[in-house]
Amino acid sequence: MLLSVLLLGACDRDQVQVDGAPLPAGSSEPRIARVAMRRLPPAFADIAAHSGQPSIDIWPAFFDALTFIDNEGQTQPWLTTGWTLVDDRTWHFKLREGVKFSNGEPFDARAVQSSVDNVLFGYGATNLVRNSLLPTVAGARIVDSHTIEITTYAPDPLLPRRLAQFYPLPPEYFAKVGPREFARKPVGTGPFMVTDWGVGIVRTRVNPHAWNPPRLAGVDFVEIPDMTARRQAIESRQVHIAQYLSPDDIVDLGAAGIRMIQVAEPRSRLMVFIVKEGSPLKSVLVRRALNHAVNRKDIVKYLLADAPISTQLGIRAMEGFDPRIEPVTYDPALARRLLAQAGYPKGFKLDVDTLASTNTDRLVFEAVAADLQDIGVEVTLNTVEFERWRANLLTGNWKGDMYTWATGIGPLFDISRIWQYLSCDRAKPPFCQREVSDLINARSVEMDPQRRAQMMATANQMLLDDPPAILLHELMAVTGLIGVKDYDVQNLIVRWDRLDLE
Amino acid sequence: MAAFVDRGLSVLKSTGLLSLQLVSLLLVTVTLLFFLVRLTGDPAVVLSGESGDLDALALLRTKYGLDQPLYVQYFSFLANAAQLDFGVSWVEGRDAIAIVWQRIPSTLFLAATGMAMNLAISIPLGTFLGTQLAPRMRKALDVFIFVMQGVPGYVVALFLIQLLVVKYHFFPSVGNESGLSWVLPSLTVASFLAPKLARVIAVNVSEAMQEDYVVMARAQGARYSTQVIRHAFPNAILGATALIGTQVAGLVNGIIITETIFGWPGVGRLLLDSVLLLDFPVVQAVVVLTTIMVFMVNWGTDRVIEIIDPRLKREARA
Repeated sequence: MLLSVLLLGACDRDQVQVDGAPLPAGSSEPRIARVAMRRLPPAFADIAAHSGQPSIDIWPAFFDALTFIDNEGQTQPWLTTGWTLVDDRTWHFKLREGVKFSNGEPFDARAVQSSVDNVLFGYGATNLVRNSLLPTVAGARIVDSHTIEITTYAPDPLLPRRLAQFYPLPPEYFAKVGPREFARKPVGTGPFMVTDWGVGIVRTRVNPHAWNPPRLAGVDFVEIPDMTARRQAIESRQVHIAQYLSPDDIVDLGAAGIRMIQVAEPRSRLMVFIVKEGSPLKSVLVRRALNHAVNRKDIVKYLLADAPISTQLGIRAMEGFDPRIEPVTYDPALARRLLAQAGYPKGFKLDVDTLASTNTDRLVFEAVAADLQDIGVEVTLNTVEFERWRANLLTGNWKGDMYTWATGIGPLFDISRIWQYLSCDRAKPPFCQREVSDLINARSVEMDPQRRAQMMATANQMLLDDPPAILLHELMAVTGLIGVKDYDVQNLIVRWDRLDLE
Repeated sequence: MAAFVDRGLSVLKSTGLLSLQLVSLLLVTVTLLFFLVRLTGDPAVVLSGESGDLDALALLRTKYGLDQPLYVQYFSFLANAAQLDFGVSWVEGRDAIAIVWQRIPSTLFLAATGMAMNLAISIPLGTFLGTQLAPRMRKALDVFIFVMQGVPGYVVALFLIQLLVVKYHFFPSVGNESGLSWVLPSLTVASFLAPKLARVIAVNVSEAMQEDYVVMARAQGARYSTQVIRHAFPNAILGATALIGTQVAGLVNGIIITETIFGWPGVGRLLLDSVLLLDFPVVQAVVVLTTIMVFMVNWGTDRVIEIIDPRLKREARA
């Protein structure tokens, strides 16, 4: 039986085996790239239901957003060509001309207005995108065929950034099929169009009306939840691209001829202090000591394939990120002195609630615990399930003295995404710095970019002087590539239009 | 006429009993399931996503009725479940039962091919091990099977992929699109099952070889292969039929792992995804449909055993 199965495989080998420049199994058509994804968007292409990952891993292949945030954190035009602030609550966005949806409908101000009405005030009014990404939008009005006016309830300097994940819908098609069918058979203005959204696979082919025509004939996205299976899929040349591999794979797969790249995720890992009455963490000296006690350089070198060390809250693509700030120095002697000055020469005990997605995460936490042990701080790591961890993050009901957090600043790439959980305005903030909270609140409605930048710089300095967390490292996603070129990722958004086969 | 009426009453009685058993089983299952899945956490927390806040949570709880008292949710769930209405998936926004039906053919195909491979491997192997042939080879195979019985299925799956996909490019290991994509997942499913079944068949064949009817056949000069195949094996497989039925019913565990590793778009993977996303309507729909199928398989197994060995039926009647 086994022998016959193997013979069967050998006979059919040409269909599954790939050569040096592979044509993966299942893609019999030329010039179609095949991508192994960790997950496909669970709500398909329902743009009202989700933002962030895993949607942004795939949606930009067939949807275009109104704006785009580049690797430097700057908001760039995309389906818009520019915008002007009419008054504190009114924006005019000029739309790109000559753009069509893949079904031939024109993209214009009517399409944007209809999308705002549907996604924010219609079927999506109680959904996630309305409530967490675009809560400030009060309405949209057509100024002319390619100019749309968007008003907000309060001054919102982040509106152009928010629109980097707002994807216009074709009004006639959407009205005809409704939100459910649209989610399964989406139509956008992106370089490709979805030809089949099956179970575990999404096939896209060239959008004949694309304003930014792609180089490939299509991209197939295949869901492979298991990390090892994704690794084996690219190792066996069944896919051209495998996303979210382990840092441990970099050396092995690199030696096997697979190009390994690390893509910055808009996340950094922190261990947040929960400052309670009577806790040693109430002392700023202790909080500084703990930051000086951690050998981040070795952690990223040996465990994280040299991922960037965090120097401040947030990451480099964030507005207001200061590249001049150096990482906190590793100085255990200084850490011990600071502890002694704070009245804890013999150290103390800490419970840390940890959320670990991978084995590497666990190793990082253990390395930090070992470093803290060296200055006399005995750390107990308590593993918390995601759902419990997330509930604690929202309610502030933590049991431990610290918690680990891979902070996400996407999709806005703004410190407000992190600060909403640390703000003094929360019912149970883990740590309250009133001045910083007030400053960040004021910045969130400040429309002048220079004043915003100055406020952020001041906040950064205050957070360094009085750290709310042990800053650890930025997160990197490891991707394997074979047989493709020009894989360009900007803030998690892959430029699928630029991707090509070698 | 009386015999016909008796027969009709008997069928009616057994059907009624069967229905009662199924309803009781489902009631206990859905009740346990309802409360257990709600112990796993608050789906609003997961559904609200990374950027959701407390307002978003409250909104989601209201939207999906999670803000209602638990007993209200339970009775509402029972009333709907009685009509096989498990509601709409909180993630996909489609009927939960429709999502499950869509995945069932893939899983049934995998279960059928996996079971076929299991039988194709276990029957000859187990029969051989139950004989007195080639003692050294039997010993080696016995040790191999013993080891395989303790190896977790996901290890077998990853090993098969490494060997037959990565190294030799024999088969694909992703999805169910190409012609041979069923081979490795089926082999993995078989690897969960074959060691145990082979060992049971081996023991049964070995015992049967000592029975009077085989001794008689041997005394009459029957060839060794005839003694094994015609006399010992049919009795050995009879004893293994119950195990095969149990294996079919218990395939769910192996299939979850297999479907996840091979990206196979079936019910097992759907169940895992739905549990992770706390998508209760889909979890409930999968479990209830699976329970019904397992019940039917067990019932079918009993009938098959009765057909193979009519003595059991007579004993049951007596």
